[in-house]
Amino acid sequence: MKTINFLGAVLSVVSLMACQAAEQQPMPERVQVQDLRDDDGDGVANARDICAASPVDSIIDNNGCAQWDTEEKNQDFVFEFDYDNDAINENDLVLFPQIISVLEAHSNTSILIVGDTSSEGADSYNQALALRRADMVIEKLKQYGVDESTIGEFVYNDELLTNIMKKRERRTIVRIVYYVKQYEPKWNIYTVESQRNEK
Amino acid sequence: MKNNYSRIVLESALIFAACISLWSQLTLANSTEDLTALVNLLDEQGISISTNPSTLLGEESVVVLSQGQLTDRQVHIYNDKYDGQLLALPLTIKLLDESVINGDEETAQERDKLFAMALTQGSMVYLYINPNHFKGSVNVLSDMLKPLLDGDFQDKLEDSRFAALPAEYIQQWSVSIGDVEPEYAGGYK
Repeated sequence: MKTINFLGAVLSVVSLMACQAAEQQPMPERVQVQDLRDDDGDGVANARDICAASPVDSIIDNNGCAQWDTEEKNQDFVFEFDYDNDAINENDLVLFPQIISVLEAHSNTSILIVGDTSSEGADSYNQALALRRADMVIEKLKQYGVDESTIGEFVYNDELLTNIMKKRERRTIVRIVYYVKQYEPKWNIYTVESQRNEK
Repeated sequence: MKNNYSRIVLESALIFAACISLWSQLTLANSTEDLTALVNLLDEQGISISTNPSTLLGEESVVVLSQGQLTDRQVHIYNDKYDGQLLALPLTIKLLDESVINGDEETAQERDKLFAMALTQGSMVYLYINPNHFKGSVNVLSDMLKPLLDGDFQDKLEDSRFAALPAEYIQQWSVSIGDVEPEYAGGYK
């Protein structure tokens, strides 16, 4: 029994020595040349990211870029007129610089002029009056340097807009339509609540 | 006494701010000079290049050189207009001032080390390419960009104190420009 134990011990020592004597394969040295930092913190390493400064709360694609949508937006400016009168009120003159600043702030804008009158009088008379009022506003816009080509159609008593505005009034509405690029936000704990509020 | 102390602190702060401002101006100037050197190098290769990303939109330029990536918005505006995806290829990176290049005796591994060291402090220079320009003619794109992967051009980069592209990047380029098929061997190459 002792002999067997002794032989076992010798064999173990010999096999260990054989392992040590075996030629050791050098580990291949590999230099890390990929940029594994994530400078814009979008979860995609710089090595695969082709977009810098991605918005932090946006959905990011495999190239590290946000998903953008173009959303149509509009802003209304209402000029009020006196009864059966097409002269622009002095109080409303302040609206023109505001219109210009909105036009300058956005590219690819268009202007819709909506004429409206109070409900008294014949429809044909009211339409002509609304047109005269709109012309006065358009003329003033041109004086402020607005390109005529951006001024779109004149709409008299537009059903959709007057529905939004609730009732007929002595006014001309300048609606500026512009497009805003918005990135698709990723889900967060407030998403459901904010979507519910939007509805 | 207290007033004097405040004045000294204020003056020190002003001097510090002036130094920072000067340093940032110098850095900016260096960065612009670096890009100009690269534009000239690429021009020698017959590649007309711009450093203004908006020229991609007007199709005035096919290739744009950018220090660092273009911004998300810039890439989106392009993709939105052309309904495509900009091709972004990392070209090189400015070598560190203390990097020593051994000329012909330099091994690929040494080059990679220089590249990796530069990467720790600098940002990559990218070529952004309008792939729409090459629709239906992949060979034209490949023929235009292949010379940039040659040893000669890589040596010229090093002569101008820019890092040569590691083999991994060259493989990525070749796949991106449709020159070679991507291989799957123990992982994506």
